[in-house]
Amino acid sequence: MEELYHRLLSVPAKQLCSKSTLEDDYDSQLCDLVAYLRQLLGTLDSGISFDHQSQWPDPSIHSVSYLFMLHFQILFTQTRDKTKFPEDLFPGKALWAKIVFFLRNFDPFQISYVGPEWCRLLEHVKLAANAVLKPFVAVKLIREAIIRLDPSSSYLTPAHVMFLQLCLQTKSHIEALPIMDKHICNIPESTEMIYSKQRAVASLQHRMRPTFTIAESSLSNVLTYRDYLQYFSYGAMIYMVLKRWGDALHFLNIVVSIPVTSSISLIMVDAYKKQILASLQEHGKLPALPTTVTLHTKKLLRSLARPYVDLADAFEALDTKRMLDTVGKYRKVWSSDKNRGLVNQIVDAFHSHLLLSLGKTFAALNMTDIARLDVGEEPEPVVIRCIMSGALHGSLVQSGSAARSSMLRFTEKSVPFPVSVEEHIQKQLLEEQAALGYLHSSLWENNGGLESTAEFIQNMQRRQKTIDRVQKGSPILVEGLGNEFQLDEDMMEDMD
Amino acid sequence: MDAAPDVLEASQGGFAELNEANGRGTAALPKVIVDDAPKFDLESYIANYTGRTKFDRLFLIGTCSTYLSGEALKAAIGEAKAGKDVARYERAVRALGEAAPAEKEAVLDREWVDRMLKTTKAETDRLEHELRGYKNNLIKESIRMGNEDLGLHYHQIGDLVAASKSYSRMRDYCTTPSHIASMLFKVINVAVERGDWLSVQSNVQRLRSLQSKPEEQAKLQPKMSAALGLAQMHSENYLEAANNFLATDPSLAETYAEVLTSNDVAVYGGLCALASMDRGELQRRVLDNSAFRNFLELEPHIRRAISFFCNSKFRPCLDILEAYRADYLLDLHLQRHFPTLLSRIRTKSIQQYLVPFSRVTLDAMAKIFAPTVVAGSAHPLDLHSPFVQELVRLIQDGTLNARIDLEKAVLVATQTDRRTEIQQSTLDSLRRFRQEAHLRLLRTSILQAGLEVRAPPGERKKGLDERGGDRGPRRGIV
Repeated sequence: MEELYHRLLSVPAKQLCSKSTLEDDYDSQLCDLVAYLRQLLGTLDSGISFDHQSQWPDPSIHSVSYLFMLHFQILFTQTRDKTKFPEDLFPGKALWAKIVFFLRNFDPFQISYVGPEWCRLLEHVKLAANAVLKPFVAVKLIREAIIRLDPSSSYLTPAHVMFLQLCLQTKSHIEALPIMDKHICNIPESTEMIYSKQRAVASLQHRMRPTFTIAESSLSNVLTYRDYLQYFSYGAMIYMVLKRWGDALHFLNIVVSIPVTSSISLIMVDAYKKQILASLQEHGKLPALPTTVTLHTKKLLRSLARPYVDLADAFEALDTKRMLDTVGKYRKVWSSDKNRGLVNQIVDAFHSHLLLSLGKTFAALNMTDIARLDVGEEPEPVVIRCIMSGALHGSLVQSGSAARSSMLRFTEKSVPFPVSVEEHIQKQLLEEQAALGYLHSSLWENNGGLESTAEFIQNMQRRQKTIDRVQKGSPILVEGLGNEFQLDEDMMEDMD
Repeated sequence: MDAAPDVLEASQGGFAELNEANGRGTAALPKVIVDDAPKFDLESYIANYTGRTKFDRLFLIGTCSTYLSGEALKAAIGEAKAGKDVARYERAVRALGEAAPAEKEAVLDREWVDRMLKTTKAETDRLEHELRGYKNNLIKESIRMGNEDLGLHYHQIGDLVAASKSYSRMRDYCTTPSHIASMLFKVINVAVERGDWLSVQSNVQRLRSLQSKPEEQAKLQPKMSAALGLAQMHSENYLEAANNFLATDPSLAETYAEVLTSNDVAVYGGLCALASMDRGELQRRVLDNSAFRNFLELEPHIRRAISFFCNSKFRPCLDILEAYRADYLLDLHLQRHFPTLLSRIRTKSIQQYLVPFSRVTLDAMAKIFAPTVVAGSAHPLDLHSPFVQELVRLIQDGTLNARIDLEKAVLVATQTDRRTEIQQSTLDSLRRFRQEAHLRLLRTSILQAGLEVRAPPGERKKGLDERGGDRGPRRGIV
């Protein structure tokens, strides 16, 4: 016990290490500790109890140790109480408090060495909150932990998927936005990889050679394409609930454009169905699949989402009867796909779309004319609904006599102060600029990763050989290294 | 040849015949029937033309105009009998038989038909034999002339495919540019009769690239421009057609009467220009064009219509075109295009009329563009009146940038806020770019991480086993 305790406190946070400790030493020390603790955790059956408050170190200094101590403690209580969810783990109890304290104070750098264990802790948090029917408590906690580990949130981790699932389950959609609004740009091969890469980035900043160590990680911690698809599908669903159709469409686009070998995933089919509905809602037409989607996939998706494509055709044709017929005909399909609510919204969207297209042709026309133009049901309530919901800019003028029907006058979108509109647009432009800048930096990071892959190096070697063969003796041009490596031409040659 | 005149008719038929065939066969191109009396005098009109187009024109007038059918068909029969083409004679007699069975010309002259078939057959054999002889002797000039004679003969008896083949065969034996030019013109004339406008265009291009003296070229220019204009018009490329007609030199005069006359150039050019150019261009390139003025003087009403259009007097302009509707519908080349041209001119007039207004009453517009509707209907400006429907169509296809206010019966020009629009579109394109970039970035990450969607190893094997068996839509999904 004493020895273990001593071992636990052997590697403090980096900034507290003496300057004499070399970077390499620190790295290997931490790796040793993690390996030792992992082995211990694997061999123990009943866990270890740390009862005394004084035994717990400061989580911001000994993050790795604290995390393992939590796992030991959880294992201990689980075996003691002979239940998967011991009472100690429930919100409000002692162990829960320790977990919360840890998640709010851990040192991201150290934790980057123990990604799988960190994820497992979050899993415990979620399950414990679920067990007492208070899943909402876990939402904020997990979100804070994710952002604390990776403020840019650009690496997809299993925690992301779990978090969105939890948000959907608890209907805390707005809570999910801080994570979702950040662009995921990197997909690690395994969770271990994430953290080691991140470490590599961190060490790059310290002008040190990166060390990629793909440690063996338990299977549940390896990301699969399913996690990726699920994350973006869940995200799209949340955006749809919040009626941010444009963002939802983007997420669904990501899902359907995943590279495929020979088979496609059912999640993609589901996403394509939702994409059609979202696109009808937002643009009133069938969505164009990204150009990266192969022809085969396109065909497969279309054939599997036939009812939805039919619905979109009817919508685009602005044919009320056909639209309502299609909705009725495939009622069972909508229900079994769990898209009935969305389809109902589409019907409303169809009416406002129809009225909007009328508004492009007419400045004013009366209700009897609208009825003759085939809006479907009694037009006046539809028109009123559309105006009230803000989908349609217009006003209704009822005439005095009962014989004459009321007149709908389409008005221009009211702009109270042009300045405020411009300000708004400028703000959005700045946001886009920031997002693009972020993507740009991710691109460089990604590029660096690609340049160190085996394929790239092989390819470069092959090319070098050919270049060597072609022009023996002359300096080799290496792409990607910038112009400074190119042949030093005589710039003044043309000037003579 | 005498065994199957009907087959020949289909294969050799010019487009006038094709039109007729279509009229009989499909509903897509119904036969145009013109009940109004045209303004021209048939005799003097047809006297302007020579060659085979004369029959084609007479036959078209005979079958389309109820007013002139007897007279025109009789003239067509006379024309056919003067030539050697038996199939056309039979066709004209049949048409007259339908229109006026009582006429004595409506009876087929069997004796003439048999005699003519025999003569033409003998002539064909003779010419082919002669050509073979020339070929054996290997004298270039003789072979060329032999082919020319044979082509001419085929053209006269109405075998247009064989005629154009014979003429094309002359190509290898032409020795001077003028030979090539005359050969190409023959090919063009046959192609015009066949309605093969692509061939007309390519052959005119060949003529253009011909290396000949400038004065020779100048002599060829009017016919070339006119033929090219005609081909462009038939390809519904009206602006190009107008350009070519406008570039036609007045020296054309009557030199190209086997295809069209200077009057035709004026009408075709004027209408195509009206349908495709804006007011400034019309003024500059048509009315102020001293070369084209010569043509316009032949058809003063076209000149008047164009100048009315340029002066924004749209009603008189449309009135003139309406007045000559019967004439144009009875024209061999214009018949198919006149409705399109007229509707384009009308649309352009409406567009031009609206330019100065920010709002204009439908009543005022209808008085100019639909006077008969206003006069004849109780609710002239109802949503379902043809004029309002026309406006609705124009607005929906984006031709008019305006909206209809049915309460006050006015047309309101749409006012756009360019600044906001551009800002919005910038934002949209930026957003699209960002999303696309994100998509691509994720794609590389996925590929790098090897996370493509792939079937689990077990299922994959199973799927391979199933290959050739169940090919249901569920295959290939994981």
